[in-house]
Amino acid sequence: MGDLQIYNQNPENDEEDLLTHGYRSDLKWALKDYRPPRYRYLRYRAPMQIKEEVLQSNRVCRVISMLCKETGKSTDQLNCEAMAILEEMGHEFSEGVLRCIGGLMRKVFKQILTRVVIDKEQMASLSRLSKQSPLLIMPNHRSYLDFMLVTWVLYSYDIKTPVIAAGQDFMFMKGVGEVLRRCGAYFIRRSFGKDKLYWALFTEYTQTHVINGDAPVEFFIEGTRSRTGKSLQPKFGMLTIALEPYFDARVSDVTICPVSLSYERTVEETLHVRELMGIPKPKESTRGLIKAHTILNNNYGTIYVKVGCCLSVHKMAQERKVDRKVRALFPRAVIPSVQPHERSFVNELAYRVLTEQQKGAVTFTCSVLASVLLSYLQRGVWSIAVEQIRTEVEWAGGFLSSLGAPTMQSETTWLDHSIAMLAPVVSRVGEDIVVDKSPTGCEHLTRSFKLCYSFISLARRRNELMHSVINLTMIAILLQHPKVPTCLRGQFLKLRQVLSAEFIFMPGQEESDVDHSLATLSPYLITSCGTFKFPPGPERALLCSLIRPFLQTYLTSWQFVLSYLPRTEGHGQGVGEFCRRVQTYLSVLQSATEGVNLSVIENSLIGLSRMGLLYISKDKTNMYCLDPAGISDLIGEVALILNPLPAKL
Amino acid sequence: MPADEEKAFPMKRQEGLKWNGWGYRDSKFIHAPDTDTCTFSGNRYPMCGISMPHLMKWFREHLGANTNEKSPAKPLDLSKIPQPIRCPEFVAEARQWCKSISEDAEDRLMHGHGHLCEEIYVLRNNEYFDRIPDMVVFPSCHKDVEELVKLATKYNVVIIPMGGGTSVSGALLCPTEERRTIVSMDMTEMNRIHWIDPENLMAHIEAGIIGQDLEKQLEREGYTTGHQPDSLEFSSLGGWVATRASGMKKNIYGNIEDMVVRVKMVTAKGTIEKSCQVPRISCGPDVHQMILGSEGTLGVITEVTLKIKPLPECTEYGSLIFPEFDKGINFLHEVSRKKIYPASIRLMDNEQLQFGLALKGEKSIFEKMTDYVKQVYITRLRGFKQEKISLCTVVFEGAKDRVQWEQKQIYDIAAGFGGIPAGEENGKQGYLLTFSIAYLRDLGMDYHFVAESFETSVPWDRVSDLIKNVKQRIVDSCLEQGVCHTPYSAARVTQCYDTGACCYFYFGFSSVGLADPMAVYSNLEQAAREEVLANGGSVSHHHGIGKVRAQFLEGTISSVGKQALMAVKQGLDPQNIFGNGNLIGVVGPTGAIKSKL
Repeated sequence: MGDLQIYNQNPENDEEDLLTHGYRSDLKWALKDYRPPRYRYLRYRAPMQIKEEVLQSNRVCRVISMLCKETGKSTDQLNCEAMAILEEMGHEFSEGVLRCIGGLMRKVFKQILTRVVIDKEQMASLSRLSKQSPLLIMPNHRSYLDFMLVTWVLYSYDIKTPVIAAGQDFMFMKGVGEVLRRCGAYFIRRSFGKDKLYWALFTEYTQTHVINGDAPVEFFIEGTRSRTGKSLQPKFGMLTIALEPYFDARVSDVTICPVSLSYERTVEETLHVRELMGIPKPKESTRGLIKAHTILNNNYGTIYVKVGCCLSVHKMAQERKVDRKVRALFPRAVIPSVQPHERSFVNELAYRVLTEQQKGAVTFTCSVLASVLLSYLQRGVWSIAVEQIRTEVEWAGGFLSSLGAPTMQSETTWLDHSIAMLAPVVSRVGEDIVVDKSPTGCEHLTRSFKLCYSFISLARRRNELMHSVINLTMIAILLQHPKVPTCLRGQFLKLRQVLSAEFIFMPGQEESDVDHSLATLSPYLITSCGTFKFPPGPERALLCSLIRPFLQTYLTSWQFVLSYLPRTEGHGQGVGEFCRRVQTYLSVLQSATEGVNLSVIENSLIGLSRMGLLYISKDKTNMYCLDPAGISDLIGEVALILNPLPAKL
Repeated sequence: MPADEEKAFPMKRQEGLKWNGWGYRDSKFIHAPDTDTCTFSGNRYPMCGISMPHLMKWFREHLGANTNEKSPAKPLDLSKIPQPIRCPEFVAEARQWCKSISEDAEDRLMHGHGHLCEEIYVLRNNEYFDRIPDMVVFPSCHKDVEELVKLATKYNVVIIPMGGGTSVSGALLCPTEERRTIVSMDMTEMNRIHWIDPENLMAHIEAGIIGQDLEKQLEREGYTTGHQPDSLEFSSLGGWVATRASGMKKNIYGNIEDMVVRVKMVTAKGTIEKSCQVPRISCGPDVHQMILGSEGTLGVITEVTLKIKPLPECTEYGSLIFPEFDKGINFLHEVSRKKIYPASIRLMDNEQLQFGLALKGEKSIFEKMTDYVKQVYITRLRGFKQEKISLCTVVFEGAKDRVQWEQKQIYDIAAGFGGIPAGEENGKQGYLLTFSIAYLRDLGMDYHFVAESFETSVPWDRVSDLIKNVKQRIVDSCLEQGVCHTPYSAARVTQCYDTGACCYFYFGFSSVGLADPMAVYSNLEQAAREEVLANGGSVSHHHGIGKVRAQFLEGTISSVGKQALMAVKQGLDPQNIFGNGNLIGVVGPTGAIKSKL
């Protein structure tokens, strides 16, 4: 489906470490020759000129004349307002600043990272593509570093650095906002609801970059950083805006480059764990950033930057029979609204991008280690012998990669290294590996919350490998039932619906996913007369241990829904408030689990609402049961899947 | 007023014209490998005798052609031509009305195709077509045609009318599933001008007359139709009407539909015509509009009354250079807003301009142009870039003072868009080249090079985007399909209207290493046409639908629109006598027994 095959068949040969690549001196590196190839129809424009052209565009002019009539403000006044917005929004790209920051980043990276691994061949292809059509660079979003990392890598390979759609939170960081602006970031308000002028300006500003190809446009399909280690559900707005020039035949094609950034450890690890537990996130500030200088003393391991299969929007649109003629009946002066068939195309594309990102993601050994440790923690064991762990992780790593999770081959020192990557939660004490029950940084928490901290911290790392095995774990947990499930497919689909907010499932691929999963697991399955059996053993245990915590939390949360949520509209509850109640309940009741993870609790509710059992208002302030009997049935079904004997809570 | 002079080509057209390429047998590009120069043979064109030292070099460097590796055309092999399906009864009776009937294989082959790239490729490679006409008839007057069509309905044979045979839509190809006898009706013997009316400025002409013959004869009387399509030398009046042709100077003289005052068409049910020849009429939907563009699906056009004009007092050429193509487009748009239309105004993009330069000879005027260009941007320091400039050529025609006024207006408007006058010679050269350029494809095909052109019309606000996107689509589609060198992809704006423009595209690619160059070509054309439509362009401005664009007809005129066309077809031709299958595909019986597969 619309793939531009830019993958080299055996990527290992083309990988190189950007930290040791090229110039030794960071200064020389910053002053290196940088003449990126240009998009073939580029018309050079200075940042100010871009803003002026946006102001004069059809779209903006129309909105302004409309607002003139609506609000009675003069055109001049509205033009001033528009320019002020553009000044607030627009980038001020400057190659000089880019070079300085680039050099500085390299210095810092050398200090805190082991390696930054890039595929040369992918970069060369990207460079070729950047001449042919406008690019949308779409990385996954795990860290603040993402903003600059792609820019930095592209600069290193003489590819035009992107303009980056960034949330406004950054802008308020004194100095940092301005620096980012000069490296190509432009800032979007988090919410601008019905502000038509803002909407027009932001749309036009993004699109003019796509049409003229001033620079690749970078944005995050997940909308925000994922705190959980898993991909977030895709957001469609920005992608729709960026593709409208194609629907409108302003450009003949747009190339989407999904980029996978895999961090062995992110710098904001602690922050994210705290956020998942509901401890508020500090506002982004420069002071905060400076305070974070302790980061410099840590090692964050390796970063892999992989460019996935670049997608030609035109090819995909052709396959999906997207009819662009519909728009051609509108004169350029009139802007047609997004057509339904375009919307569904964008949705599909967004999922496609996410899957491509996931395909490119690298699973680090520490994620396997975290998974193994969690399975011990689930049994209440907090301290395990080193050798036992070593054997188990090596086995699990081999097993998972045989299932298709691309785990990295590790050196002999992998264990110590992985422990370091999980620090401070995990440490080595003598001949034992110990998970800290009260790690630094959460001294003020209650005891049970402290325990949860380690759980969630490890769960985050485990989540990083979930995307490659999620379908397999679902099959495994369904097959652990002693009675062979009569309708495996049906149950699989049900489970998928339940978990639809938790993981990324490509819509429309349910059937092929079942087939593919069964084929992958076939060496471990006993097949007879079209039914399958997964005999007990370490394989089944491992796979089940990966998915069980999610379902356990879901069950509790649903029980809570049944007991405490009203059945009518009037007395609905806010989602946030409700999740916190579930969390408190869980932390008290079950002493220590990863269930206190607010994100999992919320996803359990979204899953219910997608199944039509629960109503959640758009702004998430109101929520009530639609079908208590349905929820009750669902609880029964899932409980049966989890425990072959019906469980009672 | 019988045609006593020499015709553009004889009745046995292969004696004057190439059987597997464009134009006259004596005219072609010849490459001398030892000196690496090209010359144009014969003495028919201004280009003849000039040696072109840069052409092959440009071919190699810009188009990736390998001029050492030839792909010469194969000689005619008549044994490969399909056997005719005869209808002796028809022939016997037809001889009463038509002295000239041919069942000669060469004649049949010559009447079974137009000049689409695929058609020429087939001829050059000795593959030929699965189905060609089984015989050719040459009627000499309207009555002949009427009787022949009657016979055709009597014996259930198919008639495919043919004029000059310059179609680029596959319109002359025979439907392969047709099992009845196919008669090609060659109209070129019907080439008389019946009368000229100096009072009302009209002329009544037989439809088989070839453009250049018509113009020569009218010129002697001091008139012109002013209709000047690029195919003028070989295309016929009836063909123009049947395809809705457009001429270079339509700004003054109009397109064919503006010139036609009256037209006669013989259908299977008899002759359709109006009983008056008036400047305008309100009498229900205009039956002329049904005939214009009917592409031989409803009947044979036999006679046409056309508007004529006295020869213009003066004709002046001019040219303008713009710093970039888009500026030129904006200029054209402004010209049409102000409605100061010179006879012709065209804008070529940089790729075309560069190509034009490659064609320059040692003594050529093009050399002077480059000199002039250099001079322009050195002296004026306008920052014009050689790889961005675009050239606009203009023809002014009419009364002297009117022409002068137009010239001033045009140059004033151009100045506002950064345009600089670039001399009369460049303009003139641009137009004179038009006719010889068509021969280039044959030269390319000698070196594994496949080339074609197509056109569209589009509203002004989409002209620029459409050209950019379609050119890019051509390149992308070629590279995707494994064409090893970036293809040639160029465009020009050839006509201006109040609400839009006509854009013409040229493309070509090296077929070296391709398993099936024609499959690549046809995918490419499909992709390009889809891009055109997505950009708000039309399926065709003047080439017509024929068979190659038939798939886009319904999308263009809606399914109800297509049903309406089919209803007309069913009503006028239930037997499907005019069964060339153009426009709406094969409608009605074909004589084929449906195979039970």
